Amino acid sequence: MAGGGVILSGAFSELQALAEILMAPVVTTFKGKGSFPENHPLAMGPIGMHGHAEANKMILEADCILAVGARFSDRSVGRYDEFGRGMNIIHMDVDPAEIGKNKSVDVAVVGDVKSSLRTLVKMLSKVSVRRDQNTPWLKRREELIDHYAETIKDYPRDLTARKALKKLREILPADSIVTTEVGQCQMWASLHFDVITPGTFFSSTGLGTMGFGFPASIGAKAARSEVHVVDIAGDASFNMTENSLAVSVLDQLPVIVFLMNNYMLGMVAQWQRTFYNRRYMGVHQHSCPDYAKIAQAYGAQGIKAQSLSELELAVRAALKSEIATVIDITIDPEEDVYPFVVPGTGLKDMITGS
Amino acid sequence: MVEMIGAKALIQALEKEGVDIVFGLPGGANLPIYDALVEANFRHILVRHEQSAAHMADGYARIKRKAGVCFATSGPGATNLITGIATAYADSSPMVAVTGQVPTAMIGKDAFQETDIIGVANPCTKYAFQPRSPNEIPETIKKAFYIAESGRPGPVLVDIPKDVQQGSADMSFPEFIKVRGYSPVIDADLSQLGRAVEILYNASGL
Repeated sequence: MAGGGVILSGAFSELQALAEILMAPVVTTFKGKGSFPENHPLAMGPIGMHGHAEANKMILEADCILAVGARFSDRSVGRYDEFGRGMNIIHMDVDPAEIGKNKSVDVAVVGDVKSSLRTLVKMLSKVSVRRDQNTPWLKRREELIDHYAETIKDYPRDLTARKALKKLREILPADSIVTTEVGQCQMWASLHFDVITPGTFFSSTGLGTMGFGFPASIGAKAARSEVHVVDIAGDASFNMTENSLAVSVLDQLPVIVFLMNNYMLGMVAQWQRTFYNRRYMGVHQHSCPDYAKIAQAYGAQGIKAQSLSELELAVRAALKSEIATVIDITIDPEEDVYPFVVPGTGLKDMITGS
Repeated sequence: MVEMIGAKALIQALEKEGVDIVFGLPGGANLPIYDALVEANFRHILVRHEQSAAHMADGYARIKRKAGVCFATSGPGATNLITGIATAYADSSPMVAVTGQVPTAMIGKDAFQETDIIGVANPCTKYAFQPRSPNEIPETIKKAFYIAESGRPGPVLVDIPKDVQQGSADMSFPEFIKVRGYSPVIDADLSQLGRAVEILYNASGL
């Protein structure tokens, strides 16, 4: 289980070497998304409230959890009393205060995780435990992926968040940097946008700050101007810091805002649908403002995309553009994020929506 | 030792840390810093709201894996930064936030645009400094970067009263720094790693 500490210490190759020696499946926390290439045969993706279903299921079946630079947050593990029960847990972290804070563990390895992983790989290589490629975990992984591909609720429309993000992944170069806003857009990004190059995905995972993604994308562009930077956004979250368009335009830090727009505080609406019997209060944005025009008002490019083909054209235009582009993508306000581990329940109680 | 004002010492200390960009917004209490910024050898990005300055510094830091820097004035400027600082704290992102403060003689008098930003920042930073004389600035900045970037990274706030920015002093810039009571562990205990190897080796499938 790889957490944000792997990304913070840049321990990508060490993590991959260890996984390949053990031939062990790698789940990540949401903060750890992109610490391990998500197209790798051992990659399971993030666990948690809106984790990948196969990852949530797989970690329940583990004999041993090696948690690397992770803090066992409530959003990742569901219930502390259930998570990892009966398993050996090894916890590697640079911060001694994290050991035993949320979860009692069997072994604690305090130190820089890059250095710890490097030593662990050396020690394991000496006892030579390289498994063959036919580990039963690989087969189990395939089974789970196939099972959940048919179980998780999907929506039949031409343009859904899932289809939009798959299309973005298809077009966007692997080394591009992605930041996210907070809410449904963020969780859809976690579920449907695979990170190929480690260390290229950044989100406000701990505090959950709406408005983070867009300015963070500009900061990322300032740090690495040679790659494309995309903010995977929702309307309400982008709304909070959209005035940074002025910075993007005037300081020539062009980023792409991939705005999945349902004119809702979508995640709150989903909770009101799920837990409050559709008694909506305070979630409708009522088609206000027009985000393409907002972009244009700042001198950026604003494009509306109402179908998958329009979306593809818009992304290709944005990638060629030398100014910031806001792509305003129409999303059905009834589209929910699944799977969903309801707060207070365990990963085993994950609901699939279907 | 070179004599200069605190604001100039701040800019030089940032240059010595290899800072190439800061994100910020000026106001009354950080004007001496902005005046010194005219001659800085790094880039300044003018934001439209301080929250975004902190998020931009955070985004920059996550890519570079070194501290992002943001500037704000006292009072509302500083409190506007807080959401971005708390975001960086929750995600262990290295950051040095530099805020202006009312002059030391005015602190505690509910002066215009005064807020106890040290008190506000304490629960969402690794450390919050308030140098009270100009010659403390070089060492404070050195410590701020060391704390922000070492161990588990996180944000550090440096709140500089306006008279400390304006006052002149003989400055010495330390090359290395030690912070009493703070020594992050880098190399893990080998016996614990040995136990980890044993468990992993014995786990099913091996």
